[in-house]
Amino acid sequence: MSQRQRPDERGTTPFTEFIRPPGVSRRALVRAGVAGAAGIAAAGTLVPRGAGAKPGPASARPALLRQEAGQGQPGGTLRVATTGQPAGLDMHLVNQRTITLIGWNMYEALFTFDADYATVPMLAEGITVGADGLTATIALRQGVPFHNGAEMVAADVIASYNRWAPVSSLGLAIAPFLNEVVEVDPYTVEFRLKNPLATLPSLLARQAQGLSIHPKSVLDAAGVNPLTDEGYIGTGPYRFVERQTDRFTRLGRFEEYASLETAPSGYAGAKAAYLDEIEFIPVPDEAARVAGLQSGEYDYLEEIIPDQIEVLQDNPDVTIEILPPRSYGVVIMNTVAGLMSNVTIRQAVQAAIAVEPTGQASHGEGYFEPGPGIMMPQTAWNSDVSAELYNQNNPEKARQLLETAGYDGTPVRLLATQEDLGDYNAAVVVQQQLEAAGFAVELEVSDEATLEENIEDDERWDMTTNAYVFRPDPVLIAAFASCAADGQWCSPEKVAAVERLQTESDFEARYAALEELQRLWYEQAPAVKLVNNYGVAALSSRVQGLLGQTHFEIEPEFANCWIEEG
Amino acid sequence: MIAFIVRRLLLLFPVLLIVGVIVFTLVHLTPGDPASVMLGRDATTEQKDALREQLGLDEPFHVQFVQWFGDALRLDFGDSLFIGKPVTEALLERVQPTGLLTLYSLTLSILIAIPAGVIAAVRANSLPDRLLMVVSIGGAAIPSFFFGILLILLFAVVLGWLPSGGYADIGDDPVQHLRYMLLPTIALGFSAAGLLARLVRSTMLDVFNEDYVRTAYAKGLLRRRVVLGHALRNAMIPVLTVIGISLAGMLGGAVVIETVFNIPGMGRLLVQSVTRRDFPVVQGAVMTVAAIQVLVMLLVDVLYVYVDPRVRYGGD
Repeated sequence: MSQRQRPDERGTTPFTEFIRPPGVSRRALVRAGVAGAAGIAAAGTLVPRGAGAKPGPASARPALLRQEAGQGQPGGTLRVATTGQPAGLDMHLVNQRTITLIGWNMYEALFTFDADYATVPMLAEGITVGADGLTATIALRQGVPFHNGAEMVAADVIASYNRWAPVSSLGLAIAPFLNEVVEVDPYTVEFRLKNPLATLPSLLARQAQGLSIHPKSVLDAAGVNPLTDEGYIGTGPYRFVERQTDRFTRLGRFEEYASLETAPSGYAGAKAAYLDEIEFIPVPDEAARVAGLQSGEYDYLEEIIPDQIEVLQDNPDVTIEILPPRSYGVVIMNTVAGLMSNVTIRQAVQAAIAVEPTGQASHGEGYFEPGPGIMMPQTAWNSDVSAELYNQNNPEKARQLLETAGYDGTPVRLLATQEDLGDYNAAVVVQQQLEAAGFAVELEVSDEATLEENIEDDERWDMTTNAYVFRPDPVLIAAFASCAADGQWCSPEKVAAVERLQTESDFEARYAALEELQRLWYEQAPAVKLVNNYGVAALSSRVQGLLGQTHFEIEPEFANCWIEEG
Repeated sequence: MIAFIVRRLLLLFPVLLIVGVIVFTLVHLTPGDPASVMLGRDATTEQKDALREQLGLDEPFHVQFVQWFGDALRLDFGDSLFIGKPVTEALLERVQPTGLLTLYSLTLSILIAIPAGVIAAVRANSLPDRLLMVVSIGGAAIPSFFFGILLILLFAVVLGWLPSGGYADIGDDPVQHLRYMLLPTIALGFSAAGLLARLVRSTMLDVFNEDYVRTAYAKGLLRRRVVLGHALRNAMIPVLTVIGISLAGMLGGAVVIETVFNIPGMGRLLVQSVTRRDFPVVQGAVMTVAAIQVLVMLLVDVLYVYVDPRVRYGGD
């Protein structure tokens, strides 16, 4: 029997049900017309995944257990090897993977995502929306202390919002809809809107550069400057202790943490801080990270490349788990200047590409799956619309399209960086495929910083390889929600489809808008989707309560996880 | 002698000036924007512009150069864009791991190379000579980072005797410090020892053919006295120069070894600062390394006086 529809795990507010991107079952209902209740239950059934599960479509679905609180073993230090050390831990200002990993153990958001990626309250008690959809009233939980001892109140939420909104892409997405945010009473905040914004809770939820809530006093002192060590104060189960550049960032248990009572579910529900400390150690060298996991220096690796997995597979002290996709590869094209501003040439690129070889080159056999959906298969949003234009592998068609477009053999400038080997290897394959279809391609390889500067200048590039990382809702993907993302796809049809995604509150209507967006994606070809890349978790077998409990797509949380000694 | 040292120290300034101009120009001509690196790929243009202004990167190139150059004359390299500390402070924090790693490795390489070179020279063309030279060619031929990875595999992963990487401050925990430093020291020191041993061997063989060595034997001195007292001391002059140069090589090798063994030293700071486009740190670190080079070569020149009494500098 499915457990995922138990209402008590979703919070108690009526709006929660209204806003959630419904799980697989609802989508199944939409897509299959009238699916039986049994089918719904089956789709939503939660299956624990065993260690060492082989990749495959079945393991690419979310299947999180609902953990009973209080079963862990307190004590110990969890040592996490990260790919680098971020410049500070100010999540408002910086969108960077390692900050997301560290930060959400210290900070919390008003909303978060549960095991099914439904948006549910965390620091909020719930949300109610006025009949006209123009006021969203968020009640806050009472008695939630910050790490400095002060209680979280409405003034803190408003100060956090006001600092975050002008500098985060999520805040900028809210801005056109918003009149003002006001304090109704110390435990109630009201968003007064110009137009209905059904996705507000998702935009305010826990994610990369999401709205973390900090004390007003700290934010007032920092202003627009980055927070410093004294200012890393949140409400999370772990608090900031110390950091030394390029050596470590150390968090400690927050004894006064105010946990929810509901069962842990994804990023939601009760959180227990079993660990005494968590140390995040920057280890930029891939081989050094893997050797450290083997020798017991580190307990969890932020990242591992598939090449290294074979090395660890037979080690009884190490657990390797293939996870649902956490990103998909894309060839982004410059739609505003140069060759690729011609839609026919972009369609020729789309026709020429075969995706499997890019997956093999960038992630290795067994660590990817093809799929046309521009939203990940583990979300309710996955769709097969326009699948016939995905993975075409049709150089002949590409040639014809190039001829129609009057392509004169001008070299295509394909930018890539070896700092991300996956993206680079995909670029090399794409170059070969395009050349076979009659393109002239210049592969320009540089470091990441140079590549980014080149992409800022519309005249200096035609295409680049990258990956879109997992987002639970299409409005959270910058390339869809904004016209300013790399490639600057901004046709009126796209803008209209995105507006429907932002404003419609009914899932069926939003799903129809997503399918429209996907149809436009394949028709206007602003980018070519490659393959879904599986996530891989590499951790010490001593670490319990992590696999199958927390999500990994937006980085795992180490609450509810413990170290089994002996 | 004093005048010589003062003159050489004064020469430091033009050297650093040239290095400074080159590194500042190179760093600022390199494409890549610190603000984009710091804020991540999704940052908005407004966000990046605001940060650039805050960091003073919106000023024209020549204004930034004059500003930096003026400060650098007062040994103020500015504040790191990334770490948020003065560059001198950031560098000082990193001097200990790199300095000690270089010192340990240099000591190890000398302790290996000189006895090995002397034995090989004394027993030239014998089996021990051939064995020692094969090992030393191996040491010179294997890149230190690769040797480092092999050491990690054996001692950290398979045997589990030593940690695979990291660093402990010598003041906090000397035992732990040595455990962390042992493998990187071997990796770096062994490579340098190979070349040095071969040099000691060949200079010793040259010296053995000198008249004064024959004279020493003719006087009836013991072989040990001749080898250690006469031959080795004379063979040390070119060896000393090479030790000075290999110190420079070790500072370069430390960049790689610090990455492999995850040691938070100056080499890693420099590499990471380049990828982060942390201009002030790159400039400060390169200037510091250049100054160290000049000072080491000066030290070598001064040591000649003690090794070879015939060497005299200046008028004294």
